[in-house]
Amino acid sequence: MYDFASAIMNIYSRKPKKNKPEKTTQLTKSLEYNIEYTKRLFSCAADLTIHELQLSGIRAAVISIDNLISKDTLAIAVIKPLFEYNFAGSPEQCLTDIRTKVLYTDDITNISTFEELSGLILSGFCVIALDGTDKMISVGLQGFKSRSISEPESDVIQRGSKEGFVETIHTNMSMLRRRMKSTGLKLDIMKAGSLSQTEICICYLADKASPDIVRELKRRINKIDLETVLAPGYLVPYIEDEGCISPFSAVGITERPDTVCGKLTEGRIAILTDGAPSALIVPYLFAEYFQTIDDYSNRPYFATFTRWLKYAAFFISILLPGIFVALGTFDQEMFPSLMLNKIAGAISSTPLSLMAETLLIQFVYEIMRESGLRMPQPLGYAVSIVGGLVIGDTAINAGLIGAPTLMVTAVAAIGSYVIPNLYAPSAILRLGFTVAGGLTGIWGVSIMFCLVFVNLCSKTSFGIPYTSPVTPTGAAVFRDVFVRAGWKTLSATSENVQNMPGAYTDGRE
Amino acid sequence: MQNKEMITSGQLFVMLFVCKISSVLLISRLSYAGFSVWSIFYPLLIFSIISFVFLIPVFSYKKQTLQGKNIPIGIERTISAVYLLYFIYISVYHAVNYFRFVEEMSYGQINVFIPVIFLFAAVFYASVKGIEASARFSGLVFITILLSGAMIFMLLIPSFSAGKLPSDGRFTAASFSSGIILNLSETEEIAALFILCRHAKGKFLKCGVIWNTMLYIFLMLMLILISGVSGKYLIDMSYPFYRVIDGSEVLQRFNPLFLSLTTGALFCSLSVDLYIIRKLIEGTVTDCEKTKKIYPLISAVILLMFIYIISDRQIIEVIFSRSAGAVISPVFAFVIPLFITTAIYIGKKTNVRKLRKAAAAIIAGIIIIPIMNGCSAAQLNQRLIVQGIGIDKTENRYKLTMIVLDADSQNSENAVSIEYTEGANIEQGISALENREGKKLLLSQCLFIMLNRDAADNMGENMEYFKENKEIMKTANIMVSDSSGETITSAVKEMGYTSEQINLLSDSSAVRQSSSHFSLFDYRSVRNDGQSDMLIPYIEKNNELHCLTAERSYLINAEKSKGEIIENYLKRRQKTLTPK
Repeated sequence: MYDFASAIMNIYSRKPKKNKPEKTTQLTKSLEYNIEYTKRLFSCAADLTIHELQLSGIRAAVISIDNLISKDTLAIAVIKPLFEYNFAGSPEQCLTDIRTKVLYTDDITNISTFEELSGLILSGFCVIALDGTDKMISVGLQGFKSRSISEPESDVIQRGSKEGFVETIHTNMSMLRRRMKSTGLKLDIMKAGSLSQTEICICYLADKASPDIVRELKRRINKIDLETVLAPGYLVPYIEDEGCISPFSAVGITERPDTVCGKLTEGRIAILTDGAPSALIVPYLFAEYFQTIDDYSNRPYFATFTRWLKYAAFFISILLPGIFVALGTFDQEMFPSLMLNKIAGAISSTPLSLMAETLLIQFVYEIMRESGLRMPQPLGYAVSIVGGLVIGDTAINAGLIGAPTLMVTAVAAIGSYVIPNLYAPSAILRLGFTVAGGLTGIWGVSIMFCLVFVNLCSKTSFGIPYTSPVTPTGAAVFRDVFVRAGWKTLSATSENVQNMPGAYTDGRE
Repeated sequence: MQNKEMITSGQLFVMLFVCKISSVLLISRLSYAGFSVWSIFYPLLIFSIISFVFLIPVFSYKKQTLQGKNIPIGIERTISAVYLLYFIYISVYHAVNYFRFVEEMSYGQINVFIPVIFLFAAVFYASVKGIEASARFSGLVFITILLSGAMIFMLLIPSFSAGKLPSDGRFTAASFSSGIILNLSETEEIAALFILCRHAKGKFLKCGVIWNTMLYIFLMLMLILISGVSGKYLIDMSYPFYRVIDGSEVLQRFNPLFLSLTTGALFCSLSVDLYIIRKLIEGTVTDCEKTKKIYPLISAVILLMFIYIISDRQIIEVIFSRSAGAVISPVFAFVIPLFITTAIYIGKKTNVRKLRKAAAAIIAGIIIIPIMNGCSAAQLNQRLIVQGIGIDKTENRYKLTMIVLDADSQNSENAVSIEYTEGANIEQGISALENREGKKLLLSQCLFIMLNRDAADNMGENMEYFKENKEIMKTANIMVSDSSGETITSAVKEMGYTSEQINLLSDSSAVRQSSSHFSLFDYRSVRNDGQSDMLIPYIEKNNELHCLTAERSYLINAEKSKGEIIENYLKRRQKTLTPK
């Protein structure tokens, strides 16, 4: 028992990992040894290809990983020119000639260690090695298969571009470049994950983003001690400001390059991760959850209207079941007479208390949602039918649950779909508010509300208050938060994120 | 990357605005004012100017700290320790206020301790998160108050009528001084400002002046609005703003909004209190690590103090009374800041030892003044301790029968006696007894007030004396009897009842199920709304069983007797209501 408890304590004690010192092994002048060492390094790797050649009497080898490079390009741009050229001089001179006179590609790097060699091979480079020199050169020939650009599934808009990010980081970078033809757009590549060596690209506009924030972001990424980074979500806990446990995230995520470009112009920084069709955005403020790219395509009055709808939907989605349970249990006089009769009738015909009933429906709903999400598409329809008709209708007819409770839960659930990125906090808070309302009525809901919002208010994103510009209040609240001003107004007043009220960066304060 | 201990002056004053609104407008001593609107309005108007004088030492101190002038560390520690005690007192006061608010508004449907302890936990979390989090949250509450206030204003303004405002207002020097005392007792925000001013940056003076001006204008407007909408509502009514909302057909559906806003505002207030406590612990021990250990301990002590205090309502009435607040709060809002700023100013001319002596003298003064005040009062042996009062009205005369404990009497058997007196009104009757005995009456131990039917029928007139009396506990029960004097006399002399036993009759009666014992506190709450009934236990002498019984209740509505109720009020109200 003690061991079990101490094992749990160890898991949550967050002891910093001891980083092993990076070991480097220099290449040798013997091609034979280098090839043997590489083979040992890649033992049991069926896709390692070593093409041994004779170049004007000098032994050489082309090392690559099958399917990571384009074979056609390798043959035309590397092998063929190598055979056609007459090499003379020392192996070092030959290597220089290959780089400057022979190859038709420009993505060429010098290698001096086996670690660099393996890293580049695994990134889709082919490596040319000559006997008699302890240097090699790598040539970028990435040619692996990737998904073509398509419309993002979880970030759908009404008007505007239908392009979404794909899994290849370089394609994603090109999508940003195409939209932002400015020399100010910086794309810094970094690596994270000691095993996966995942490429991470930090994108920002040099004249818009705060240098403090960029520096701080790079510092945080350098501190990531993960072995693998397979999705952007792995990075989020390392990028967020420390010291605040919260259901809300201070790192935004989007699948749209146009959204990223919009954010970059406001001084934000995007982080692309190789292998993931989405970008992280920092600093990210709470108000941004309610802004979509559609807002800027629609007329201002309609965009303002839909924005208020989103605020209402968010509050409905987290508060409605809690308030319903609180009023139904403790403050029944708040319901209008007719509604009260209906609710009383429904409650009297069901076996569970109002709180238990609401929690049960929410729980069943979450199960159905989760199963619908993971199931193959055709089965997903079946789940909808079973959930909607069989469970919903039959449970009401059988008197197991009340129709008002089901309706309240359904409205709250629909409300939470209005802002998909806020679904996770909404679902958890909804349950919390229901329990608070059921135990202590409207008082519990109020205090829980205070607690949640103090948590929000205490949160920062790279030194910028998460609730800015609502509180601390700034004029920007009437620019693009409560009101979506017209384009002429927006363009006349540029508001960078580091200038938000209460910010502790190189902005105002 | 960030300093969580600094906020802008604007944020600080918004936060204090929300705190003040929560404590004054929603739940405070002011809400229990027993005067007309003008007797609150004029003192508020005068105090809006006085408060600027109160703010001067704070502004001056802020200026001195900006210039890098500080008081010696030893004195700062002492001052921090004294302020620490004060803010513990204030936070318990705010928690008690919230407890009473929840108790009254939840109609006994929930265990009141749960929301208060839940609130305490949430506030503790907020205070740990730092002043910035509280300030930002206050900003949100402020915006919500403004939006809801605008909505309420729009909905109430059609019901507003200048005719509903009292024209004379019974405005007297006594009511004016009482109003000033009331305002003096509500100066804890200035004391908070004194502590927090070091955490504010920006235009402190400008924001402070705007804050003070807007606060009083807002309060005065709200008073006029409430009175103009509800007429006599404000007189002797708890939670006036809530009552106005609850009385409006449209607004009563927004009742939860008001309750939530009140909770939010009080949350801000308590989180500021606890944050200040945290900073003061830091100032006292001047060690962050120690603060981290001591702060949760002190928070737990505050919670325990609150639980202890709340279990005895009589203590609440004493330690959180207006007079106590009016003595304590100005000391911390004005006297100490004035001393410190003066000490810093003359600091160059004098040395630290002299400053220490002066600080010791002031602190001694703070302790001694209330004690000296107590010394001038009549000692217990010079007082007649009243345990119960019977009031019989016959035509235009009042006969008072009192169970009195004479502390001078050495023999415990003779200690309790029955005293009789009479006069044209209750005050005259009591004065006559005091003159006759040469001792002042002590009403703080009075457990019950028993009225005969005629006196009960003029409840408003008769209770005026007790309502205004600062000494009597508001938990004293009210009862009705055919002849209260005779009932009390026979109960004590013939049946051997003690005043506690007579008082218990109202608790253990058969009508208890339908009407709880009716106290002065309940009377104040329901008196003026005209909607709620006063269901008062009816005490009778049973000659056969040779005892007192309470099997009926006496129903009074809107100051008029409606008859007696014999059995369960809720079930058979219509059937058993017998005409008088």
